[in-house]
Amino acid sequence: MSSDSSSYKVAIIGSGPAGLSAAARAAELGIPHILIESAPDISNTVNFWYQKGKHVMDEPANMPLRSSTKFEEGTREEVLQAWKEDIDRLKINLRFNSALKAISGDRGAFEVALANGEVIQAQSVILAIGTMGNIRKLGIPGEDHPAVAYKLDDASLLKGQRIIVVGAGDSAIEDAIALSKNNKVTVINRREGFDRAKSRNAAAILRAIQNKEIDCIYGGVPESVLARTGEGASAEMIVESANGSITVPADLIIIRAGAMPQRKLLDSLGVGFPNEAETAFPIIGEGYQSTRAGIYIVGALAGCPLIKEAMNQGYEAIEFIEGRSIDPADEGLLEEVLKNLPDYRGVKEALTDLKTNVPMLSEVTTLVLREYVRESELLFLKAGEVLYKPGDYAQGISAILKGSLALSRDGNASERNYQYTVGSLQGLTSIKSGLPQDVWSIALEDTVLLETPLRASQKLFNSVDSIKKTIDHIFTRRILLRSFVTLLPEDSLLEDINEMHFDALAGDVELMSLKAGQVVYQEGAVTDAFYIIRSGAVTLSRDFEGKTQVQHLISTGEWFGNDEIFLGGNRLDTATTTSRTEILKLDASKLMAVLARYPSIQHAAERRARNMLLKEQQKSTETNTSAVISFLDETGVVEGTNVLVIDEALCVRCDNCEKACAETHGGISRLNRKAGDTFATIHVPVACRHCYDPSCMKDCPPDAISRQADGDISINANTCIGCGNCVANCPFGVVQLVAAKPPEPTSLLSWLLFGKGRPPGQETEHLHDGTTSKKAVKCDLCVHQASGPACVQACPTGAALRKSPDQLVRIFEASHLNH
Amino acid sequence: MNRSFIRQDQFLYLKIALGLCCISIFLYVVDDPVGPPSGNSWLGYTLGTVGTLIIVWLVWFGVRKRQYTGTRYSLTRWLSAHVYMGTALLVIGTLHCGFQFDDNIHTMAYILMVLTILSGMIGVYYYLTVPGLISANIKNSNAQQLHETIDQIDRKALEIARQIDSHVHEMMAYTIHTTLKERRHPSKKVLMDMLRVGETIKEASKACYCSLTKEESIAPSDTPVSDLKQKDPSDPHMRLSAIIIDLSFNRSPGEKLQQLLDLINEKATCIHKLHLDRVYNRRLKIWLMFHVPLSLATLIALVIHIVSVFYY
Repeated sequence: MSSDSSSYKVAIIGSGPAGLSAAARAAELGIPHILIESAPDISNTVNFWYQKGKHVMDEPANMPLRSSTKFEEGTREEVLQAWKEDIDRLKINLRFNSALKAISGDRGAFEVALANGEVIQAQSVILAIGTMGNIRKLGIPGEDHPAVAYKLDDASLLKGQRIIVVGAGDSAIEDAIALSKNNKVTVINRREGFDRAKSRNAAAILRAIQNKEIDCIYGGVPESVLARTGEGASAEMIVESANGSITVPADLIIIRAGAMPQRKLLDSLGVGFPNEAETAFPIIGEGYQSTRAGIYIVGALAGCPLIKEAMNQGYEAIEFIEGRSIDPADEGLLEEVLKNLPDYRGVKEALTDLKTNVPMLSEVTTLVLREYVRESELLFLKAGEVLYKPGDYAQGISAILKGSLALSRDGNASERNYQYTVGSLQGLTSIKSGLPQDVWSIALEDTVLLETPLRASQKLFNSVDSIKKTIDHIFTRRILLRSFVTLLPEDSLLEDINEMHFDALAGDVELMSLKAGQVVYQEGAVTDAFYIIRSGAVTLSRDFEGKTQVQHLISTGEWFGNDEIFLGGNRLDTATTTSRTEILKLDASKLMAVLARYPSIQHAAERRARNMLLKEQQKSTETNTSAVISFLDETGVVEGTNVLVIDEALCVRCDNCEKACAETHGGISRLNRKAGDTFATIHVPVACRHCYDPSCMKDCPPDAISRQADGDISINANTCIGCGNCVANCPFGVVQLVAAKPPEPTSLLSWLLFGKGRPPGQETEHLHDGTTSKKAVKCDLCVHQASGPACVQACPTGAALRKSPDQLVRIFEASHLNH
Repeated sequence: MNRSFIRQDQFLYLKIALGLCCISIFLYVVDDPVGPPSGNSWLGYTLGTVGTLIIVWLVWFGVRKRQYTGTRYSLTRWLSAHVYMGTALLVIGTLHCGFQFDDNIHTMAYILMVLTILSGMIGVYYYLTVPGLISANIKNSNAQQLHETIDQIDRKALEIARQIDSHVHEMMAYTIHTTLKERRHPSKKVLMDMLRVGETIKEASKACYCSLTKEESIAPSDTPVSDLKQKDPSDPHMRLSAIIIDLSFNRSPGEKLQQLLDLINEKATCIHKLHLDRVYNRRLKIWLMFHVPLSLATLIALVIHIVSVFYY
């Protein structure tokens, strides 16, 4: 066994952003160091797994970079080039092609054994090996054949080839679809479906398989890869399937079986994990130290997937090894946020106060809390100032740090209203359900709130299981409160109703995750529970003389199945989900117990339920409502908050709506009148519906899509990078990616009188020359126009409507009666 | 219909227009001018001024329709008011001239105004009836989808024709080619051809069905086939029909032929719908070709009328 003669103060394993930054800091300080990389080039993930020319972002944008190497937003190539220059400049001691095998010894005298037999002496070790270093292989004979690959660089370079894609996840599907345009692609799917993938990807590949654009072997298990001689393909794969063994010839075999954490290696290094889960990250203590003293973990392996933060961690790890205590990089930012707090004593103290005062934050790790606060800002309200009013959409979560707020139905706050005090959260229901506020929230005294935008709030909700539970609990309580408030007589104050009365009821819920078309309960079944919709929608239908008729549509944030509890008796309807739906199931007897505290509400609830029943009995002879609801349901209109619908009985097909849209939106109409679904005379053109749970928003890298206070989902043209994720994710095809110059201003009269210039409302040409970068555009509800949406405003006959789904149901019900 | 421009704001503009008419008629009845009623009295001038203002405002609709920003009232309101005020103009204009007509520029302006209003009324009638016809014609679909349906029918028909006979296949391919060119703008000729084929095919399929089930035998001469062959042998549709019917008697082709017949029939229905769609859509625009030039002519005549009245 040969051994490296020199001894280093620190050995850094992995030359990704975190490892490189650690090595750079060590080199800058003149610390004896070695940076070990298993690949022949730096940063395997960025170098190898990123597609050529990929745009690398420097999120989080407001976090300062603390590193001795450069990092700026840019293409993959620019980023790598900058790092390579720094390696030369700082004379980093870097060794390629050296894989880590084992670490023996203790802090101060580690022996790092490499795969090539070399042993390196080091006092400390920094592990920065990321999570992408260990992609899952199939482990079958012949897998080392040159035709086998684990990634796809550029699908457009391959033409007329026979290609096998192994896998059923998103990356497998994306590869298969990209390749199928010019090649013959066979997908080998171990399962019987594509349920692991995003629903849109699954739909796309199922369609491609149906259209015979892609072959798929379901339940197929790859057995071996063999070289093929003679004519045609260079290799073939033997696949075991339900129909026996199949031989598939291929020029290229892409294996997309995912990546695995290097658990085995890490276990052998003696690094502790919190649990046995494959996805678990190692336990990390003060100063990035793992459970084995002297071994530090930074970067993606420390659960930090962002490049800039990983680089900061690498830098800081060196500082800790050097024995210096260093404030986190974001200390200044946090101080900026918190310094105006009444009796502010310092960031650390303020964070401790936050944890004690806001129950939701009590169990969060410091790292997560710091990120949360960094994204937030303080809001100061004087007594009587309004936080929100009915119809407002919450922009995020506000936690009360000092003072109190009153909930009021009429905008007049008094001590007698229901009150929220220090520690409670505002805006939660609106955020979680996508519904607007239904009451006023007014400061009763001078009040300080910590306001956190939507994305950061959601990140927090999803970060820890315990928070998720707490949030769900509060959400359920609030929905119950909200539902009870709707039962109250119009003029009553909210003083008698107490959110905490619902605490026990909300604490005992069962979460049901249902697919579209699943039955929650059947007509005639025993009534033992009621339900709250957390996301999605449910129809209540009734059997009427052998025909099923939809009676009601219940959407996010509403409760159902409660009327039978108020009335007593078995189920009157069948409840069926319309889309993927999450429902909270609550115990009926507990509801009655809570109701017993409020005799007046109980009375009102019973009366309402009885009236509803009477109305339904009249309505059941009227098939129109049922059909309208079914149509709005099938076309996804019910997922929207504000939907453009055209009454074809009035529409004179003049397209003035499209012209108005183009004229008010840089020459590009965001609606397509002719396209879309039609039922009887109800036409739903292709235009944004401003969904409760917008798919477009889910995967926007620069976070450019957001719900505004008045409910519209808007795209920020300044931050949009034109990646097209929203275009792909919108199930209704309402987002377009366009590059267009704003049209020349036109003079209406000179066009009318002399035919000069551009006709008003004419769409401009889309540019394809690459001079203008593409941006995603869609309907913005004309929020800049006081008179409302231009399409509706410009309709000569009153055919165009922009309304919420329940308003539409009412309108078309009425219109039927008038025919 | 609740939100239609006719009912806008609970018939507000109808009420205003009626009010205006009532006042005008009342004044006309009580007024006792020197000489016969005409434009040349205080009431005549008043009604003339009101009428002129209304005409200018009505013409302004053409401008307002194209203003997409900074508008206060919706275009639906404007149209509603436009329709009712335009109709009221008929009364006001007539009372203004005191039923005095002659062959001069004044009467010319009046006639142009009346024609404009009448063309507008036709427009209103179309706006109220045609949208419903369009929807009823292409039920729960649109023209684009109909074209796609025809594409699918063509594909299926070709496939089936290929399985029946190479001649049938050739003919089918030819008819698809000819209709393809004209389908984007289905003319009456294509439609009539298709309808004739459809009729023939219906007869043929009846005959075919009878011969297959042998319930009743019909001699080939009883069918319209022989007629067709003689009448227009160059027409591809007719020739195709003839071949199909020949086949149905000579070779007992069975189910496949029936399928093909059904497809051609279905295609004829689609073409018919497309044709109607085109007719209806044209109807929604064509009245404007009269209304707009007439209204401009009225405006010009009005200016001449006013200038001449004041000049002379």
